[in-house]
Amino acid sequence: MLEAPSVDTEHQEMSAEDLALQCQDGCLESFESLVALFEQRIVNFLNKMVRSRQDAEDLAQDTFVKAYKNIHRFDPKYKFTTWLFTIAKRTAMNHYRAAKSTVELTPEKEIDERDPSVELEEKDQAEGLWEKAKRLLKPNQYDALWLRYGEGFTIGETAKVMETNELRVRVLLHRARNKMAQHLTSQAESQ
Amino acid sequence: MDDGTTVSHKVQQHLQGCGACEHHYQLQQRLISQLSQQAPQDCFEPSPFLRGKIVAAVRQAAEGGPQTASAPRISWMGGLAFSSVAALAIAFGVMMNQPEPTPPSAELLTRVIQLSGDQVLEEATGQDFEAWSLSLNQPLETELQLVMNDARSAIDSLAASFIPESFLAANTSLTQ
Repeated sequence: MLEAPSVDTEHQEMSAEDLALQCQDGCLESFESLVALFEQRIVNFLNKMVRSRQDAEDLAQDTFVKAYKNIHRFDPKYKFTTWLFTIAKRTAMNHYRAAKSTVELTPEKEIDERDPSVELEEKDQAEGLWEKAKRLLKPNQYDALWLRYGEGFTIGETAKVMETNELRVRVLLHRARNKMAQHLTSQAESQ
Repeated sequence: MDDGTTVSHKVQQHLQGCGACEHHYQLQQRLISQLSQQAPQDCFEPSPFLRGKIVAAVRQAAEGGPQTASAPRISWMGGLAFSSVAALAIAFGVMMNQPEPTPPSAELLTRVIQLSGDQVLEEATGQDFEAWSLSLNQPLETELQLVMNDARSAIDSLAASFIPESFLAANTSLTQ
């Protein structure tokens, strides 16, 4: 799980939920402390969804602005983290839908004339576990895996952020882990 | 396993006796552990300016900048709707005040039908042009007038059959 960055001393001891409550009472500094607490986690989560650092940073800004505008809707009975990640996920989905409607022109990649199996093997050995997961898994399987094991959310929190039920999250995690395990086993056998 | 809790005693007993399940379980546990360990390595530090940008955007939102943007749009749309309605009303008024064209005589109609193409062009010049063009439009206008008359008489007969007389007597303006 990612480490939280430091916030100003006045708000250091306060939980995210307390900061959100102070913000509901009109304290802008409390919200700035929340930005400091969650900025990195939100940017990285968005980067995993949109696969572009620049877009992730822009969307993080949108996420925090939306969160601020809707802070009165936050219910302190629930975790602030889950609420904020849900906003981030919706922001990324909206961005994805908007991007889908425009034609993106990307320069053609250089043609690699090597044997594709050799290239794949080299790539497989060099990349980390999460990069493998990104390549092998479906987007929703990857998101569930990241929220559960990358962010350390519980099954319930993961379900809430993904706006689905716990059973579906368990199924997604089960399939994701099995696919990863199968790949790692076959990789080990080939070496 | 999904909850991060240890497996029950019953499952542990099965795992001790089943090599395949034990192998699968160990592999899954290793995978979960590695995913958690490697997560921070898969993250990047956002731009040092990002926090400042976010805070500035939030402060702007706090001042009500972006939220008031919709107000001028609403008044602009209202103005557009009002001007559209006004333009339609004026156009309708102008159309209603147009004088009805005088119907051409039967003699003129017969003459136009009997003329050849060149003769029609000759006839269509000068003072006779208006009467000539009216004579060409006349069959369509007559047809439309007949359709309108038919529709009116149909509505009148329906009204006479189905609307009670007491209602018609009370609302005399409807019958006119």
